Amino acid sequence: MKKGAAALAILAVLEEGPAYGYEIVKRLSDKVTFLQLEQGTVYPLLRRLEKERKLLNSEWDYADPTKPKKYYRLTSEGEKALKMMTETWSVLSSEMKQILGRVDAR
Amino acid sequence: MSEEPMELIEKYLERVRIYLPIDSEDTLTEMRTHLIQEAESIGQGKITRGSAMLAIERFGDPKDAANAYAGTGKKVGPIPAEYALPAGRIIMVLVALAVAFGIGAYFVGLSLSTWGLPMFTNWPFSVPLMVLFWVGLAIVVIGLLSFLDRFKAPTEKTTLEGVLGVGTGIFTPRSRLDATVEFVFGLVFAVILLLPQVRVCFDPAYLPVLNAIVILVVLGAMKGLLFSRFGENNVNLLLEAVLAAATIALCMVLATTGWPIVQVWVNTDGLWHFYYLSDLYSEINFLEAMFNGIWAFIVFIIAVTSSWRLVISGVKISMYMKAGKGWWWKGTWGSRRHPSWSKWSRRLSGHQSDGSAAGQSA
Repeated sequence: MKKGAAALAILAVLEEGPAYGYEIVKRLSDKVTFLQLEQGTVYPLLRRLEKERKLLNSEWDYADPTKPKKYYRLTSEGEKALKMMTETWSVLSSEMKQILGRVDAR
Repeated sequence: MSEEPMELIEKYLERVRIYLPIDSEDTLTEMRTHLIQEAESIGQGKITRGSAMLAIERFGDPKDAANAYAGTGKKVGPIPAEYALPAGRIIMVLVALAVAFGIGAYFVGLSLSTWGLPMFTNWPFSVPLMVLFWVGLAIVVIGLLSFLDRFKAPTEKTTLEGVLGVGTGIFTPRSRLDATVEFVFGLVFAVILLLPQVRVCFDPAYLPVLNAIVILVVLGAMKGLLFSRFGENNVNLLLEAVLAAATIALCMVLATTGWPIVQVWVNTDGLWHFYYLSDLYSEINFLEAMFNGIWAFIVFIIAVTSSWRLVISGVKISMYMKAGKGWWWKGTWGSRRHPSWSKWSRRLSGHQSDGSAAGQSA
C-alpha cells in the first residue's frame, strides 16, 4: 500500500508539469513526510513507472551540460492511471475516515 | 585527504558503477546531477567537500544505491542480483587467468609437478585443475578482503571492489584520443617489428610468429582508426572481439616459444655488433630461466587482457543488438579517464574545489 501511495504521489507531482528526479524528490520529501519519499525510493519507482508500466516518459535536458536533467512527464496511460488511482484513493480515504472517526469518538 | 568535492562524487559513482548493469550511463548521470544539486543545496548554493560528503552519505552504501536504482531486489541464482555482475566478471577474469597460466606454465616447463603433484601434469587435465585452484584461492582472498574492508567510507573504493571492478573503464566507449593513440602506436610498432635490424635479433624459427604478430598489430591499428573515426559500433566491436580471439590463439603459440630474442645490438667503440645472449646464459646460470619467466608473464598478461576484451565486446554487441542498433552507426566516444591527469590539469588551470562542480562534471 505504501508503494501504491508513493506511485500515486509521484504521478500527482508530475500532473502539475514535467519535472526531473531531484526536483521530484525535493517536492515529495517536503509535502509527503509520512511516506519518507527519498531518492532511494523515488528513483526506482520512476524507473518502474517509466519502463515497466509505461505511465511516464522521459527526455534529457542538456541545457546545463554539467548537470543534465532527465525530465519525466505523464503519458496518456499515466493520466488515466492517475485518475483511476485518485478515485480509488478517495474511496479508501473516506472509508478509513469513517472507521477511524468511530475510533476517535470512543 | 585533500580531495575536491567533485572527485568525491566521481569516486562514489565509480563504486556504484561496479554494481550496476553495463548500460547504466543514464542512471549514473541522473545520480551525479542529484548528488551535485544536493551538495549545492546543503552548502547553500556552494559545493564543498563537507556538503558533497553529506550528499553521498544520504545515498548510502554504493551496493545498496545501485541495487535501489537498478530496482531489482532480486537474486540471480543463489546470489543477490547486485553481486551477480561483479561476481561474473571476476569469475571470467579468473578463468582467463587460470587458462592463460595453465597454458603458459605447461609449455614453459613449469607444472604442478614441481609442487609435488606429479599426477596433475598431464595436459590438458592441468587446465581445469588450475581453474579450480585459482577460483578456490580467489574465494578465500575475497572473503579476507571483505572482512578487512568493512569500515571504509562510502567514497573510498574497497580493495575488494578494486579486484571486482577490474577494467570497469572498458565498459564506457574509448576516447577518440585513446583510439588515435592506438592507431599511431600500432603502426609505429609494426614498422619497428618489420625492420631488418630488429628482425635479425630474433630466433629465425620465430620469424613466422613475428609476421603473425605484425599482422595483428596492423589490424589493431586499423581498429584504432575505425574507433577514432566512427566511435563505438557493432562492426568495430566485432573486429575487436575477433582480434582479441586471434591474440589469445597467438598467445598459446607464444607460450611455446620461450624468450624469442637470441642476440642484441651492442655498441663498442662506436661500432655496432651483435651480442649473443647464449654467451650471457653461460655466464649467468639463472638468466635464461628468468627471461623465460618474463616472457611467460608477458604472454599471460596479454592473454588476460585479450580475454577481458573478448568478453566485453561480446556483451556490448549483444547489448546494442537488444537496443535495436544493428551493426553500423556513427557511435560516440568516451572521455579520457585518468584521474591523476585530470586532477593536475585542474590544478594547473587554477580550477579550485569550491563551487567548481559545474566545470568538472561535464
